[in-house]
Amino acid sequence: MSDTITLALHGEVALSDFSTAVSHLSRLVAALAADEKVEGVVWQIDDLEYSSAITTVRGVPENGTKPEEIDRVVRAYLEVGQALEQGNTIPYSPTVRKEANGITAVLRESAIEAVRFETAESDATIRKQAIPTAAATAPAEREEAYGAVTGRVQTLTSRNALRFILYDHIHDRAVSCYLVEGRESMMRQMWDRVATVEGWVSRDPVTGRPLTVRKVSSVTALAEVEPQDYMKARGALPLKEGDPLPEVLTRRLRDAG
Amino acid sequence: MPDEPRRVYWDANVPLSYLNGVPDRVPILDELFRQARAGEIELVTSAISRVEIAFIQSERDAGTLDQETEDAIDALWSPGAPIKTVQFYDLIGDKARALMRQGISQGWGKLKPMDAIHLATAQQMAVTEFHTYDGQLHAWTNALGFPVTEPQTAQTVLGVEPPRS
Repeated sequence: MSDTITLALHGEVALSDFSTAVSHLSRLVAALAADEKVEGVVWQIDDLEYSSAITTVRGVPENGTKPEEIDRVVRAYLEVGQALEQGNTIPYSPTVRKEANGITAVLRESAIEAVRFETAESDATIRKQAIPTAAATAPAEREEAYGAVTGRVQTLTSRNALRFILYDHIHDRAVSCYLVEGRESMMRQMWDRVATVEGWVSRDPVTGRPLTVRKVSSVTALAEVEPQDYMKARGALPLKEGDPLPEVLTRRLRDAG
Repeated sequence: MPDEPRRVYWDANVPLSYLNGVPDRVPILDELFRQARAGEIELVTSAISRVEIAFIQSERDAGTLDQETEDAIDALWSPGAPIKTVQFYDLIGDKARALMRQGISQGWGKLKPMDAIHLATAQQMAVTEFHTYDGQLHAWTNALGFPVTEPQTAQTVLGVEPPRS
């Protein structure tokens, strides 16, 4: 069960476009709650990441609202994103459709390249080129496989959060990571550490950049070296008399078998 | 906005040349390391390079490396080091498969799987140069949008002596 909703804008994001998208997000969440007849929820900002203009809001129950009701809104949000991604009709009220389309409209006249609707369960990405002919455009094939991402843990909330942010070491962009319920303890002492996070990794189908890691199975902190430590490697495995050059050895290895 | 650093791919034989202290190569590699530390370039290699080097060394030294030497090798690509390793994932696998077919259709012979993974990783990472001392891969220069060359720099550091063996 999940209580967070994330909207990510990829590309160069102007403040006005960010403001527009977040305004529509706020109204979209309210409209989805109305469609699902869920009342008594305050949607609070849970996380803001500048690297990809990632906004995460968390549904906080009031007046006895049950977590399952919040989960219904979260699932509905993902369903809206998937409908947009696949060019299908959004299966909710006109108000929901209007606000959802308002979010993707920022793609038309801005440097934003893609919009991602993300929850703990899955995510959906709508790209700029898909907007004019969404119905006729096949969505890019989703790239998701069990794997690992290495980077620096930068966002850890204290409230039994199942989500944290990792800045991957290649692209230096935020990757949303979702723990399985009951595994929160694996993040103890991890803030600001460089770590390898294993789980189901979804990637941008074009660039391969990791976007999310779900069902995180392990988080392993890595030792960092000093920038000049690489010099210790110089000549650490000296060639002996008559040894072949490195390219001869790698060629033998690759051509074997 | 500052310019993005050029991304340079290193085939496994390049870091291995540094580890071996190949005299005519070390000054060039030192200069490239300096550029990486200065943020002028970004050095990347496939995680597979680590395995290839480990295998070659285990064959040569019969698995007798001491911890200090192991740490020295790790210092090339541990967090904070100048070389970033790129993991293998499906998109790279798809590209590698396509390159193996392309090698045959171009008449360059069969591209071996490990060669294909290195080239595909470089392609996926949109590098500006691919460095290798293996002349067999030079046929791929510019076929993938980047030159495949031996490491080179216009500002090779002079006077850097490799350690004595």
